[in-house]
Amino acid sequence: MNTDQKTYDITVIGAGPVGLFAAYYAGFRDLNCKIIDCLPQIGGQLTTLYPQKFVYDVAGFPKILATDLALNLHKQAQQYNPKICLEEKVQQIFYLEDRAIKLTTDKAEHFSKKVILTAGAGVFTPRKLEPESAKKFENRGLYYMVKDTEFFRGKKLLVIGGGDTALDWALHLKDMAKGIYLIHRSNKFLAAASSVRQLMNSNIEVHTHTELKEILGNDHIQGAIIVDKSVNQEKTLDVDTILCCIGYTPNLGPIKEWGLELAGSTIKVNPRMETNLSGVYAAGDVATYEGKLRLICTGFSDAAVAVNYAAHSIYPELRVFPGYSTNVMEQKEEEKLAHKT
Amino acid sequence: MVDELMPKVTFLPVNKTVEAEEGQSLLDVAMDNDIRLEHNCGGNCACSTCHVIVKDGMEKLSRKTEEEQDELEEAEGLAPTSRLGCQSKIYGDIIVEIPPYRSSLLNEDVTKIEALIKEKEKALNLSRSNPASQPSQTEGKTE
Ligand SMILES: Cc1cc2nc3c(=O)[nH]c(=O)nc-3n(C[C@H](O)[C@H](O)[C@H](O)COP(=O)(O)OP(=O)(O)OC[C@H]3O[C@@H](n4cnc5c(N)ncnc54)[C@H](O)[C@@H]3O)c2cc1C
Ligand code: FES
Repeated sequence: MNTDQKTYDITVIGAGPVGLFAAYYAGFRDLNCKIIDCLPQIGGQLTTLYPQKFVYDVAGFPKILATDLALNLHKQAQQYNPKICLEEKVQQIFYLEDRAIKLTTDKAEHFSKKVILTAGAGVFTPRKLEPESAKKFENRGLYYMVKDTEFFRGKKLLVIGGGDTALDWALHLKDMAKGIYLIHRSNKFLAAASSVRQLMNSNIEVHTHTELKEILGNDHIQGAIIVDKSVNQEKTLDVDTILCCIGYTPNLGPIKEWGLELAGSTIKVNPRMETNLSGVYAAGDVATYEGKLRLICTGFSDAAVAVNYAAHSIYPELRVFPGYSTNVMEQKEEEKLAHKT
Repeated sequence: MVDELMPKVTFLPVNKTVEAEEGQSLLDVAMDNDIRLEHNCGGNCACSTCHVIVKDGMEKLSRKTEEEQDELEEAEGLAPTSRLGCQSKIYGDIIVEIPPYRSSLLNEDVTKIEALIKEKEKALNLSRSNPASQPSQTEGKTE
């Protein structure tokens, strides 16, 4: 198991918009920060569920593409170099004697003084395929997520699904793969109309009304049998790799077992964004309080509140009120200059 | 041909009954049959735009998870038998209503407005030919 021995001031769980803003804010308050997410990319719902949609209600942006909002938030946080750990699912929490907190993930252990939960709706777990043969090939030719697009270069690929994720990946991988098919069990696509148009005009062989029946092969995939349900006709495709994107189900998962006070699958917080667990704050979609609205803008506000109180709690000499960034940053610049001369 | 074994789903207010495969989600059934049901997040239990109200056969649907309940709470016009279309899998005959807001309302509005315009024109013509008569009531009925 990997262990990063450094004890960070704050560990943020979830790199959605709210987690990214919390990481920025921690830096602004001179705290060092680590951010952990189980997905292979940052952005949470913005990049997982609606990367190509425009968001219109983020203050200061008349209109911004969800992907760009995620990138901007990343850039803003990056000014303070937070440590970002991706593809790590946070599992357990332990309180150590020196009042530090240890978090365990499926890969490593992490230490920090405070934890901010910005886990949104939880871990997006991909929905799995039903055929028995699917289990055998999971992660051995059959994948539910893309970690590295290069991996698919030269592969004979079958993409399954009719939503934005399936279409976005199929369109992205179509020129890298040696051959590419897409099957969808309906003839109506959930994906954006523009992507469907692009798909239909591409080199991707598309089969609608079609489901996967069986995966062929022993220790690696040697083909896939598909069935066209409208005419009940089977066909064998010559593929060696399958990418299945038939949706996600969100689940708070192991965090539910921490002893947090929950309301459904959200976490109750007080006006300082503190949960009932010492040193653990929550913000964004996962946090709930009287009158809570689950929006990006309220999530940003939650994050600022959580970090400011956490800052004061770690370093009592730091005031809760951060001052105005306009002044604070100016002072910091001056201090830097004075330091140099 | 009507298959006795296949679950049947009736969508209101369009009052369209269609066959579904066991285990299919309500959203998939709606999509397959050209019944407009919004699905902003692509059926991932993250937006509540696929909200439906079950009128009959609640027990024929898959169990509601806490995640679904949380998301549902943001739906407009929440009822005790509300479900998310994308999360409810069908295991028997059911009747659901697509709440009368969003897209369906938009379409209705267009017909309403068209009807209103027609009535106005009629009234106008009438009052022109017979200056004494009052324009008729234009609000209300859309038929
Ligand atoms: C289709 C759609 C459109 C929307 N449009 C708007 C809009 O126009 N305006 C608006 O304000 N809001 C909109 N929203 C809502 C908005 O996306 C959410 O409010 C926002 O994403 C919440 O951000 P978050 O950072 O709290 O959580 P999320 O974005 O859900 O991010 C949470 C992150 O935490 C990670 N995570 C969870 N558990 C763990 C764990 N145990 N270990 C590691 N990582 C974990 C997840 O992988 C995820 O990346 C929309 C939502 C959808 C689905
Ligand atoms: S489509 Fe978004 S919750 Fe069902």
